Amino acid sequence: MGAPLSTLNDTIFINNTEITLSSSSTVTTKNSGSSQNTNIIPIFMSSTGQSTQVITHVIPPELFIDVFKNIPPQELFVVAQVCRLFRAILLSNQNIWRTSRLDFWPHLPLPPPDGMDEPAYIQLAMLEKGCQFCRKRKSGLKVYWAFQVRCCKDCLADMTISDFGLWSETSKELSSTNNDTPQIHPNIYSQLPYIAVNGFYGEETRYRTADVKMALAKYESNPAEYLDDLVDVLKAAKLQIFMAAVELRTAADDEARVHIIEERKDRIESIIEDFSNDINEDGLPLYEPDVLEKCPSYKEEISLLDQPFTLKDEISFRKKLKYEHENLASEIAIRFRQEDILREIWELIPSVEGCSIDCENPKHIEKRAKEKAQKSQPPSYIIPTTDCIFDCIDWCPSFTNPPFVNNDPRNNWSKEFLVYYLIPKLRQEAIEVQKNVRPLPYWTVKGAAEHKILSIAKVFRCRLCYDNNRVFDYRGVDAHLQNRIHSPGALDTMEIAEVDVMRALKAICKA
Amino acid sequence: MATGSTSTNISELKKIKLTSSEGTEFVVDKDVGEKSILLKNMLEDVGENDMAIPLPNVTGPILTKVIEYCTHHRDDFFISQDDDNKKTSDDIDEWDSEFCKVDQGTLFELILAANYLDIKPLLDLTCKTVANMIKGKSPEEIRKTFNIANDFTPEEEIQVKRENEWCEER
Repeated sequence: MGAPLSTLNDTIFINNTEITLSSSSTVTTKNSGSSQNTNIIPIFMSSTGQSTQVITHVIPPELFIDVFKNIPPQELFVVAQVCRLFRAILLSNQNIWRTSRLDFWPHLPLPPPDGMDEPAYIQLAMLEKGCQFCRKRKSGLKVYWAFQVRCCKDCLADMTISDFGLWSETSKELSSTNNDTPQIHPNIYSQLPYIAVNGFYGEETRYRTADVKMALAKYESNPAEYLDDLVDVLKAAKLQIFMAAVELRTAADDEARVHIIEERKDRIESIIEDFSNDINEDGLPLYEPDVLEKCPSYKEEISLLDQPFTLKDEISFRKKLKYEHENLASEIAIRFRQEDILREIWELIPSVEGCSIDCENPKHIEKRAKEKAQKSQPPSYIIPTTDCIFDCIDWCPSFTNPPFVNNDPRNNWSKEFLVYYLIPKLRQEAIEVQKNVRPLPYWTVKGAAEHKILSIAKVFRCRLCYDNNRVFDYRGVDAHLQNRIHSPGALDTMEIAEVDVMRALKAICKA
Repeated sequence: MATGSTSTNISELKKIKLTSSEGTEFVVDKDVGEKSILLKNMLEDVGENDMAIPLPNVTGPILTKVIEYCTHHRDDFFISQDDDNKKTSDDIDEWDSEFCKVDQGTLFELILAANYLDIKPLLDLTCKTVANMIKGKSPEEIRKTFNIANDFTPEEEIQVKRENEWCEER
């Protein structure tokens, strides 16, 4: 006898009956004579005996892990309130929370930051919209990772104390002993987590009041021991956080991290591509990818790739990038034009022979002569190496904001414009500047030491050294002369050192 | 026994015998039985054998349900759950959800059987079903549903409640 399986859902033949489920989805029973009806029993009564069973007695704890993985993260907090067993399972199993988070919250694929466990991370994410303490939604809400909280400025101020406050009256109030003049060691708070915020007195460091109280109490009970322990405590705490992070990190986390970083990178790249495809009415690109990559918000975005909660909305990111590009682009354009000017000035410097001040290095003369020989055209006029343009060019208005040919930015500079108009103009301006500002000539040691570029360039030589080719930067030559190599006493750097003029000019002209 | 249909290939026709905890013998097609990793490994170890495999942890009625499940899904290629990222508990298909409409005792025993026999899809299905019974309920409602005693001491309960205040005020 055969019957479709579906009709047999509620009954089963047991005891002397063999049940066969065949490939054609029918059940065939071979009955050896006895009455079938007596053998039919309802299926779902026999096995359990009673209809309601205590789930915690039947199912082994490890199977609850499989059950709980199917519950959304926010509800796991409810489950943890049911009974001790559930609580223990959930609190001892980061994996449940992680699986649940990854399955139900695709928007939060990044693993929690180091030192934070899954439940705390999920809680923080759930409170995304309000302050953790006053629950108000207002501006100035921020996640403070060091304290692992999300709160508003008011609540932060309530729960923390600034480093200024630590040494003032407040610290006395915090102290458990009513010592009038507590002898507080400066290092006592060094191990506490802190944040840097812009406070009333500018940048200030804030500690959690609770942490401060605890540290203070420990310190007061036994100052010497506390300070001894401090270093060890610090090391141990860091190690603990590190180990916990290692333990929590799984291959899945790493994958998620890599994935999200890729995704965010792609997103940024596509924005940059959009920008570079933008052209003006003349068909010229509006944005330079190189410049975009130098923008602060681009750099910031790149540095934040693997940080949760830092994804910026695209519109404001684009706006910022646009704004920053505008500023940066003009800055870079000016820099290019300045380099043009400097290059041309370099061409106009005479060879060392014509140099009015001492600079008798034969190697330099030879090299310079060769360079000059290679030039097809002799320079139209020369700028003496003593010209004040080398001292004052940074202050010249035509250099800080170079003019355009016919005041039109689209016109390219010609050599003529530079040589016969702009550079003479700059020299005029430099003379004016020198009258007002009076920087020392760059070829004096003092002047070079105060020069923006030369002070850090290798243009100084020691007059006492045989090896006259050896060049130092200012600090180097100073150290050289103070080291008493040439005399038993320290020597006056200003007197003994000298400036290599050609090198100095080269540095100024960025040649 | 099924009549030797020409369309079914030879291996599908192979049968294996199982004995439930009460000693009832079940005969199932080999491919159905091999949905259980436990049986599959056993058969590979033992080889061709006419002996019935004893399953002392599974009662007849539960084994029937398990066989019903495996028979329905005999042609499914059971993708391993690890590859399947989308694992929300709403994606249970109609047949499976009908299959799980059983009393709690049976459901729990199905979980145990699926775990013992190592049938991952069935374990996932039953676990999801239990999870669905938990979802959207308060702790008290969950206790009632599963007949769980509240074993927190009053002090602990106050502490647990306080810890979760933020949860309720959302």
